[in-house]
Amino acid sequence: MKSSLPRNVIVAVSSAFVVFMSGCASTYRVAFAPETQGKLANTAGIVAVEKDEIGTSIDPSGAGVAVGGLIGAIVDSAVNSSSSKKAEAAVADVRNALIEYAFDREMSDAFARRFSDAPSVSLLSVVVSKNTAAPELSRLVSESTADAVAVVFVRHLLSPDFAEAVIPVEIVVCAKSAELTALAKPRKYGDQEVPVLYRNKFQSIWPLPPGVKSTEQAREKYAAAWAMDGGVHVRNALQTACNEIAELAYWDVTQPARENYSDIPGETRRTHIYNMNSRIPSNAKLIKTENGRVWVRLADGSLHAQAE
Amino acid sequence: MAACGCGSPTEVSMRKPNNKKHAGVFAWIALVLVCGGCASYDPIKLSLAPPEAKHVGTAFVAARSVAVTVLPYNETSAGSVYRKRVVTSGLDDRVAVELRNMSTADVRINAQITEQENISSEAQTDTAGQRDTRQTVISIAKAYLHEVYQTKSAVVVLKLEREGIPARYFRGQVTGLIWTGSDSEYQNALIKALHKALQEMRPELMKTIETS
Repeated sequence: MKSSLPRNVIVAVSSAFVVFMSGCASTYRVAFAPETQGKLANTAGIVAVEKDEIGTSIDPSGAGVAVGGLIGAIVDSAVNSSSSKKAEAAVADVRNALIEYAFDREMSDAFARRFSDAPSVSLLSVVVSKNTAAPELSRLVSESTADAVAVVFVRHLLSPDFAEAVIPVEIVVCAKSAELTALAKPRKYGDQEVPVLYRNKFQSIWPLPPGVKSTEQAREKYAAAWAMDGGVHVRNALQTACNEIAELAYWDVTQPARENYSDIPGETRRTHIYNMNSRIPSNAKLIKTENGRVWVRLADGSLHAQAE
Repeated sequence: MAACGCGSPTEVSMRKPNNKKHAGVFAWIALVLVCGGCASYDPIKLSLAPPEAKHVGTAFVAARSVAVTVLPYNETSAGSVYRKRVVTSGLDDRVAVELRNMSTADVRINAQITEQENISSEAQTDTAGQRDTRQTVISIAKAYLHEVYQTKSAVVVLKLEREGIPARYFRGQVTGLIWTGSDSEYQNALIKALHKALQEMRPELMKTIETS
């Protein structure tokens, strides 16, 4: 028989930690210094993938807020854990449909195409590094012989209701040559400081096509819709999202730095941030609208693309 | 847990972390681990079976034996990571051990871990006058651990290939609350996921072999 004490305490501590971490929001984006122009022709590209199967996400519980304190945190943790279990169980059909699909290759091809002759950053080649998370950045950079290394950390997951496919990406361009290192800003990844020339977070969200979207808004129905016909819809969504992420990055690397991204003039739009597999609502400023898609900039400088 | 003749599976991996006597200790360990996790990414080396298990004998006395080759786990192509890295899984050893214990009235599975280039020579077995010359190959298509908001999820996907039959995949998945975040907790989850995948695969494997 299980003891309830450790479970409750652990989930409470975990909740407190997550709540604490969610409050840590500051400017993340680092823009290229103007002096780097023309010096990034010898840049190696790496697509780093943490997990090669599609992930899940949840809307974090807020039920415990009314109760407050330790009890509230325990309530939230219990609800979150239950939601996570249900999502992981429901996603199996989608994962099976993608069992032989190389998502990492899709993303590396998208970046290789878009950045092969880009005027700002020209990628010599783009290779895939599996099993690699952001804290391993310094290792990736040290193994390269190029003047600079552009690393694309990518995940792919479904929204909590499975209605949307989401690709959150973090791009970091690190200096290797002495000349570029002098222009870089040190940032800590894992236990190591890395000379960062540019970095930003991106996100592309694609819904199920209207024609196949189930009228019954159950997660299992959406999973079945994504997985039908060998997963054609989820493959299309991921492919389109990869190309869109490359397009977002291609545009963003040319944009100058700002002290504050929350004071960008323009219309405010609603978006979601997928962090630690949880979906957090956030406001963002509209950058542009095109073909039913909108690009929005968040307060930390990150760039999202989503349906209008 | 099944055991082969040459070494027993890692005992610590089967220990449950919810012992009442150690409740307070676990709580403090959890506090330290959770807070410690803020700053560092900590790959772990999962060793689920002793290395000598790779070279176990293959003798069986059975009415009929069918050779099944288990391809060595390739972490570069099959593994994946989220917070905990599956560096050296030992999962392929575990698959072979479990398969060797799998039998029906007249079929015993004789599983070996073999390098890919040796499959054709290894996949022919005849212990009672019945020869099965078709290759049956089982490989670990995916094995990873990841977290979904305070919950760990261990996934193992096995691939079953047999000449003349399209490849089939069998998924085992274990999802549960993260207790201490210890290596043994993750090992335990991964082993359970492997067992579920094997259970999923068993009827299909038996059907495939019995109709061959």
